[in-house]
Amino acid sequence: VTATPDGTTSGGRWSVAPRRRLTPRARLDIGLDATLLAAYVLAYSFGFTGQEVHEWLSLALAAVLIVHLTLHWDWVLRTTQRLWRRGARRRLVWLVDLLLLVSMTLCVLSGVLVSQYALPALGVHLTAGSNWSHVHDLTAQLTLALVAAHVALSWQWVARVGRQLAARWSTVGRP
Amino acid sequence: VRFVRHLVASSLVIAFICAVAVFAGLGGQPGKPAIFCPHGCTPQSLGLTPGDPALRHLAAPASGHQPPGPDYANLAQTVVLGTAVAMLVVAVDVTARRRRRARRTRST
Repeated sequence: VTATPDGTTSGGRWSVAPRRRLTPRARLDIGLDATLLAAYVLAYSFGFTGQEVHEWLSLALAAVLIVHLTLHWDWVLRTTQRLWRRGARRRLVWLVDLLLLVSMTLCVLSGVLVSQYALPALGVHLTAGSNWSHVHDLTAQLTLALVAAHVALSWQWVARVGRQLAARWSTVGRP
Repeated sequence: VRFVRHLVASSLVIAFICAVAVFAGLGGQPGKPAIFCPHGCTPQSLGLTPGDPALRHLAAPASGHQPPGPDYANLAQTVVLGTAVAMLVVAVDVTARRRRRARRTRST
């Protein structure tokens, strides 16, 4: 039996065994998702990282993002096929995820096209249109809001896995 | 094999979004230089007006030199903004859930 972000027990985007046992898949999901979130927060904080780190970090983020999407591809297909048979909340989650995918893809694409360090360092020199920096700016802000919404809509799953991790760590130290 | 299949499918979706954006001309006229530069640029050096929204990332000081270190305030701003949006969404979600539950209880 697995628990989902919606509190159902029939398998979802992430699977978590009940009680105090975390499945390897759930550990992979939470690890990857936390890394993605931290990487996006850092990449968005341009003044903190500086441009060079911003570009390399964003390229790495794009690669991990594809892995994230790949790992949840089953959920994407299942939810898309049953979109109108599910509740309004499921549709909202699906819509937020779709917008996030488009926004983040455009953000990475425009970032790559206006790259000043990373791509030239890889020997790629692109001549991009002048609007791409505006697109980058706009999609970065939109993505920040959508990432926050994406995480927030899974708050039950995050809380559950967080509790399980805390329980696991508290028992590890005991004799 | 399944992972590879899903990887190919998700990559194709991403490639499709990129292709649509490029062919729709979202980036404007190619050949013009992108308005983007590392720390130290000034709007004037790029031939732009100071209030241009494309200069959000520049954060160039008046002297035009690179800032001495990482801007922690910028990081904090991102965290606060993201957390605020997330908390708002959670609050709305919890309220909707409670209302649904109350309606269900009333109907039974």
